[in-house]
Amino acid sequence: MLFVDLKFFVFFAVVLTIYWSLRSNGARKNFILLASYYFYGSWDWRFAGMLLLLSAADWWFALRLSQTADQRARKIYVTASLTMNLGVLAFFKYFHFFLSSAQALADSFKLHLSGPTLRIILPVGVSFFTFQSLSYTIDVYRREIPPVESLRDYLMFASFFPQLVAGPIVRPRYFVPQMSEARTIDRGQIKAALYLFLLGYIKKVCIADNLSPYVDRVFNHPATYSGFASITAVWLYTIQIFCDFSGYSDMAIAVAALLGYKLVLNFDAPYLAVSIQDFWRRWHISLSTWIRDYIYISLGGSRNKYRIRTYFNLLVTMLAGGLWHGAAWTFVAWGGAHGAAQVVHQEFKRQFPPTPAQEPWRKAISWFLTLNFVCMAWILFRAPNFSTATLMARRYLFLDHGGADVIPLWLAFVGPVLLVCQWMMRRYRFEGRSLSLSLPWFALAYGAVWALAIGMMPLGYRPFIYFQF
Amino acid sequence: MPNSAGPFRKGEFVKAGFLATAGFVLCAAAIHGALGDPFRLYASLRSEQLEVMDRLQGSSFSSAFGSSHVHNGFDPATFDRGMAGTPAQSSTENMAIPGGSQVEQRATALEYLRSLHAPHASPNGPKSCMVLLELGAGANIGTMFMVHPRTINLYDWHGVRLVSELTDSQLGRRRNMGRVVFAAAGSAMYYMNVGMVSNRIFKPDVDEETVKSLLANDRRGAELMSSDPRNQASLKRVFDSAPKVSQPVPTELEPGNYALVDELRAASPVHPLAFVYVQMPMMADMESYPVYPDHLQSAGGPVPIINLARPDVHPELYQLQYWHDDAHLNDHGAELATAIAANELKSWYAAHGWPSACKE
Repeated sequence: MLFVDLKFFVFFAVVLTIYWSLRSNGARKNFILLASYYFYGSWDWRFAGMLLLLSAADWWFALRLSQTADQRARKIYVTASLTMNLGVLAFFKYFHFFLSSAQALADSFKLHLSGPTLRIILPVGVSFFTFQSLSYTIDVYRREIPPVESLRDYLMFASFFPQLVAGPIVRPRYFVPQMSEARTIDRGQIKAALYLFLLGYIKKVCIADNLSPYVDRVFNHPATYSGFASITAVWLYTIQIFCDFSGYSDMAIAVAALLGYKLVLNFDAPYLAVSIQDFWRRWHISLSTWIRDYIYISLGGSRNKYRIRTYFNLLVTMLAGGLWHGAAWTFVAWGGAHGAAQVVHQEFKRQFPPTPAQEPWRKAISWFLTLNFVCMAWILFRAPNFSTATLMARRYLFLDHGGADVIPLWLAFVGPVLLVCQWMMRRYRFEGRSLSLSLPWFALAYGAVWALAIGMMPLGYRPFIYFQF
Repeated sequence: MPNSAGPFRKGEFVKAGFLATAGFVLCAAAIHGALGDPFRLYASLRSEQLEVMDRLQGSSFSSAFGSSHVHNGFDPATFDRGMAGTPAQSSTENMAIPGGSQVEQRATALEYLRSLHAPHASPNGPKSCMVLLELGAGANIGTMFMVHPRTINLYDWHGVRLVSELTDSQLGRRRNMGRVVFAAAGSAMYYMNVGMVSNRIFKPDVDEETVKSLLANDRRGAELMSSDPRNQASLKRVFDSAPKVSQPVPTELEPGNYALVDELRAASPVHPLAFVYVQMPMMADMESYPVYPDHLQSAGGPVPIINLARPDVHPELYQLQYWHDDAHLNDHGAELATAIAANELKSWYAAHGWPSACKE
């Protein structure tokens, strides 16, 4: 059940109606818990059972470790939680990746390893809900938050359907306090949520899904396409992945808001970033802050005697972030490239700090370089293997002219036009102006934009890219 | 519903809903008007067939319409050879579409008629203009095409009306109702322009390979398939298990069958336009087969009904070597069935009178 499916609209209409008709907070939480498991079970009921077991175990581990002062016992509980969550993730997501990598390594030493062949189905959203659960037990272990006393509350936090399958990754310290009292929502919040849902729908359905056939065409047969078509396809993928994922996040935040809950902002115009650090402050914010807090800082962060150690921490963190996205070396390389770019940028800034006079043009150049680096790095993210990635990267750098096949020329302008649109929407506070419309005008415009959005809907099933992670 | 600062009042909620609906309807109507006829928007299989139609324009004066049974089972070249030397001699093409339906054959035939011209008079050239319609095609497109441009770009209110006129007493009330609901849902999507703007902006290319194969070897839109060895065992089982005598099922014509002929005749730029209804054979006929009247009496005259689904009359068709699968003839079967159809039609015209040469 995707947010863009008719089935979801029916499901959510029923959920909203029943939810707001319930008076007590307890009844509402029970109902959301039930709805969340129904939502998750609509993919595969077996994994709903797994989610329930994992969540119940993490709740118990956190409760136990908060009740004991014995440091050794506390470590055992948090290690058990880490092992369980990472074990599930490793098995479902990385089993074949580790096995095939080990076999390839053995082959290079003329050794032949044979391993079991298992037919593993990846539970949807496993990377998201395991990370969310991990942050809970680690936070309790670090004594940063108290444990959640109620099993029902914890299960609801761990399975909250708006963000269960593709984030934003919610921190317990942010979400759990919201559960303590019955949620309310006013007219302004409803308008904002409806606006955000439609915006997300437009990004996902009207933009990302319409562009994806062109991207697929070129990435599936890169050798036959011209250099310009390849560059255009990379730009289109840059738009597609942003609109796909940020569209989903917008809809998730809006759905939660209509239930009275606030989720964290996950994207903040990342392609307007003026450095690679800035990009990661704007792209998939809930993941980047997660890996910062639980990997980078755990490794020692930037408080080191030697700069090289900080850079090492940065690289390891980004490599892990890359691997989180997918079980393939291309994802690891993507994370590594982003890590390396951050190291280079930090060192450059250190060696050549900008003077106030240089600031504006350095900012402009930095934005251009950052955007093009991000575009090129997406090649690694999208390409099915390194040979395709190398070919596409050569085309991007005009080192290879490519074949004869083309895609429509006008598609090359879609990226720049959308970027200018986004900049203007922020500059002229489009959202604020839309939300300040009187209710009748807002409703009239809202219906009209939906009519356009439905016309722009390409027909065919195109799941969210981040669902595979 | 909500209950804090600036809450919604019930009346306000209803008013907002009404205005949002009004905004939606107004914008959808404006888009629908701006888009023009959505039938030509890309829909896989149909667009390829329409491309074939465009390429044959000027050289074809008759066409067969319907579903895959006609698409695979009617060979235009064989038909023309069969009708050669008669007053109904023509140059025919096959515009049937796999998965097609009565609603789709109506729209495709109307599209065909839009660009139809009468043939130039010549002693040995084509003389008549003919439309062959499939009698047994389903009322609606298959449900796998429910949320698909094949359906959405097709179901204007005329389509819904046609489906409502194709009530089949043998289907029962519930299934007939289901047909109309399907058509109404298709029509709602049609007027909501679902996917149409995207289809126009990001227009997919017609599959050139398919078009080429439909035009190769003088096929003129037909897809003539050879026997599939993988189907042979299951086909043999069907033949072996078939009863010795098949049961005839008297079948009534439906108001929609009449309405379709009348509508197409009214839309035709050439006159007279000859109509033929064809019932294609299927292996299920070996258990029971439909029995139709000899012709349908439309407002413009009688329309012959060529019923090939008669194992009692055409036992030669029900031989293993003529079938691709249990519902479709192979290339040899298509050739034989088309030749039989041409012969039956000639006999019918000989008894009831030949159509005169068509003119604009």
